[in-house]
Amino acid sequence: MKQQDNVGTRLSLRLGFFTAIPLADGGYVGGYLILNGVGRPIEFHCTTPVRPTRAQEILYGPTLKPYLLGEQMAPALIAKAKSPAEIILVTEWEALTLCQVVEQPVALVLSPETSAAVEPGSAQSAASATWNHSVNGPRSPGAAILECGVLPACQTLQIGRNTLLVPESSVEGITRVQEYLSPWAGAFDLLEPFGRIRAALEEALRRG
Amino acid sequence: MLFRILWRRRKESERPHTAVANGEKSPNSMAPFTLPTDSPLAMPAAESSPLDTYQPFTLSFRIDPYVTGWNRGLERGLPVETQTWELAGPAFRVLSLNPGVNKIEIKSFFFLSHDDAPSLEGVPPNGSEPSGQRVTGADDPVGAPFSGKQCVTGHGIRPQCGVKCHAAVLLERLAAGAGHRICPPEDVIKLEDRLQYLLQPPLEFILAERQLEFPHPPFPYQLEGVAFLFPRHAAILADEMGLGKTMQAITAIRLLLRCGEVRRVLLICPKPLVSNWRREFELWAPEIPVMVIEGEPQRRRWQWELTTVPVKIANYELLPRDQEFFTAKDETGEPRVSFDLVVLDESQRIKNRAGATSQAVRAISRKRSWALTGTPVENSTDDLVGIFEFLSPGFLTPDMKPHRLGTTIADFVLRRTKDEVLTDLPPKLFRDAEIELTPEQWKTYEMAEKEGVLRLSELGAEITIQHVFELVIRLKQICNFDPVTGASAKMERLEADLEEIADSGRKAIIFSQWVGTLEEIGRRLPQYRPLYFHGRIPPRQREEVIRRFREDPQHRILLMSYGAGSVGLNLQFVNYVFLFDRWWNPAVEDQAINRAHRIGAAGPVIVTRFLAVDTIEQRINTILEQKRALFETIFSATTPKKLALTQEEIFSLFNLHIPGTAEAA
Repeated sequence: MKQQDNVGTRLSLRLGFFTAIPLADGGYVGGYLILNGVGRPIEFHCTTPVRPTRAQEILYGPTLKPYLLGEQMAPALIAKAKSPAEIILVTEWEALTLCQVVEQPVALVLSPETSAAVEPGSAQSAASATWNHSVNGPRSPGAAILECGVLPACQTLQIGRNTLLVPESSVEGITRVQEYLSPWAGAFDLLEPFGRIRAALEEALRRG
Repeated sequence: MLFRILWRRRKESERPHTAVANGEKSPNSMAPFTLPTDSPLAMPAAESSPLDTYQPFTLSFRIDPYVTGWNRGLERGLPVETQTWELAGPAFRVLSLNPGVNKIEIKSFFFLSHDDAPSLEGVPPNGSEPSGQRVTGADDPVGAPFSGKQCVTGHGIRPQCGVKCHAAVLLERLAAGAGHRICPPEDVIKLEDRLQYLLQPPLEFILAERQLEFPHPPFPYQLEGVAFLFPRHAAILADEMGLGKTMQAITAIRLLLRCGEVRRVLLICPKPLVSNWRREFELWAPEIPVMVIEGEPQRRRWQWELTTVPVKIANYELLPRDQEFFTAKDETGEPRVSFDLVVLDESQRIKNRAGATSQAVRAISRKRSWALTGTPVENSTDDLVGIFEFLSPGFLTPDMKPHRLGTTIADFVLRRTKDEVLTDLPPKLFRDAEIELTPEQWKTYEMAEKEGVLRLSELGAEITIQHVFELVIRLKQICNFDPVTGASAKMERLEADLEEIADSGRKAIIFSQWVGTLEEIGRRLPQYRPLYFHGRIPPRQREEVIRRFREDPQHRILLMSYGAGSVGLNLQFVNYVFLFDRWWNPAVEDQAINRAHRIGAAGPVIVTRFLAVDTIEQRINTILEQKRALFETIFSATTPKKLALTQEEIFSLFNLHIPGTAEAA
């Protein structure tokens, strides 16, 4: 990928964004949005409500959400996409397990509050800050489990104004996109598309 | 010898009634009976019982001798009870829990990507092959009439230079969480269509990413207005005067053109505002070619049918005359002229559904219809029904109750007031100058009123609204100037005020409803080099008048009529407004005042409203004030009511009744 200010090249870039919103009855709906390099939607895929069974709740315990989001919903959505994304960004730490399931590089976009608490270059502190910070979800028993090794080792990277928590296996791919996007670093906010997904999911739920 | 026995604790009731424990002697007792310590039943003293229910116990009880001899009794031993506990439970059952895999159904939506979408950039607006021919300005006798400074060439449209792009400001707002999203209107039903809007980036991002040029960054509420207009096929932007409806409409048009949603846009406005709109397009959308429909009929017909110009401007006065041009059909029965978007400025012009203008506007073939007005309701709810006949025919009916009307139109109308959105706009201060008429004026006034009322009474059943109206006008004119002596208390007050204003280097606008009054004021104030802006000034000269007033410090006052100066002019460099006489409708007065009190106003705008006390002016003012208060209430509740003076109210100014109504009652 050439690092040049070429709108045509930016238009061909594909960035994937995955997030899920909880339902009142305990399930989730997930959405996967693919944008081009200038932020325009190319594809959108959303699940119908996914509700865990009682057996899943018992057996997965605190790892239920990582299982549902990272191993069930996100892979199913990504498999439906016609345009393969260069990278896949998530905003729930539970979805970071996706990196063990898909080929593309995966990264967690940290909220500004969490980013502020992260010590640059320190993977462990980044993870701790993420899990401890209420903005990215209150610390749950699952966090402790992930700390024990479920979550891969991560490090932080900066793209524009956003701080990303990147599993080591994804660092190379994310760095490539980071370099590519650096000329427009001030022009986008990687957290913003998640707001679009949430709005679209809520609309889809409203409209049945 | 000490005897011990192992004895089970019993309840009192179970104990043999003849036994006496712990050595207590019964009256019938014999010697205590004990087991020898070497008896198999006896326990060693040091050992404790494995069961706490058993303990060593010394017995002393009476033995009745059996007939067979008591030694035999000793040989029988003590009774021993046994209990059995079942240790094994029920048989085990094995349950298998299968977490299973969730069945996930997925809905997919695919969108036309930005690079696929048609755009003005590099593509001729009509999609035809580029001609490579320069299209020249309106005054060019040969070329097609483009009014802007731009040119269309085979390489697309070139923006004007020298205008700053405010992408950084917009992105900063976005980063601060103050972005504006384009939300789908309620009448967009399909989920796919709704998601198409919801998944777009915020407006700030779109504007910044496209590097759109603006003379200054749009206010956040203006972007909200753009986001409101953009997705709508029928919409009223009803912001209070001075909030920038023009800019919002132009920016929305610009975005629609650039993303290929529309290709042909028609803007219709009052004739005096045509040049203003052209100028605003140059300012806010410098890359968009604009053509004004004007000139000889043959030329206008050609202009109507021309498809290579994205934006055309026509005036209301022209439409009834040109109706045959834009309603003509081709051989397949389709209209030869059609637009993707028609925008009506000052849309209250079509409130009368039966009027020729309204009918002509409605006859234009179009896909989207927008209306811009600061006063969507001037007189009654019928005004709104009239505008909606253009936006969405049949959507409203005249018999709808105001409350239902308000809820029905909620998704179609966006109205903001300055108080709501411009918290940092300089204040607008009202001064009601109550003027005592001069003795000469009083004499003429009283005589005219007495004679006028007498004449009206004599008319009896023949009286019409026109008769009453004539008297009102006559009396109001006397309040301005005494036609006999030329005396004017208002003029004296105005001169005093203007002296002070001129000393401070400020400028003022003076409004009247009569050209004659304006000319009389101008004659008496030559020292301020007055300029005129009213219906008798040819439209082509009006722009020059405004320019001179803005740029030449010698011209201190502008004399304007309500009709010509109430709409679409930007005079925010003026700090003083005088209403020499009052208009019939407070909405029109507000429009006039807002020429000066709008975005960019340099400081507070002081509005002086002259009012001749104890005259017809005061009586009219009382009614108008009541209506103004009602208007405020109505707008907050979106329940418009009648605002201008009604026929009954005009009759009541002289304690008269409409023939056949009140008198009959």
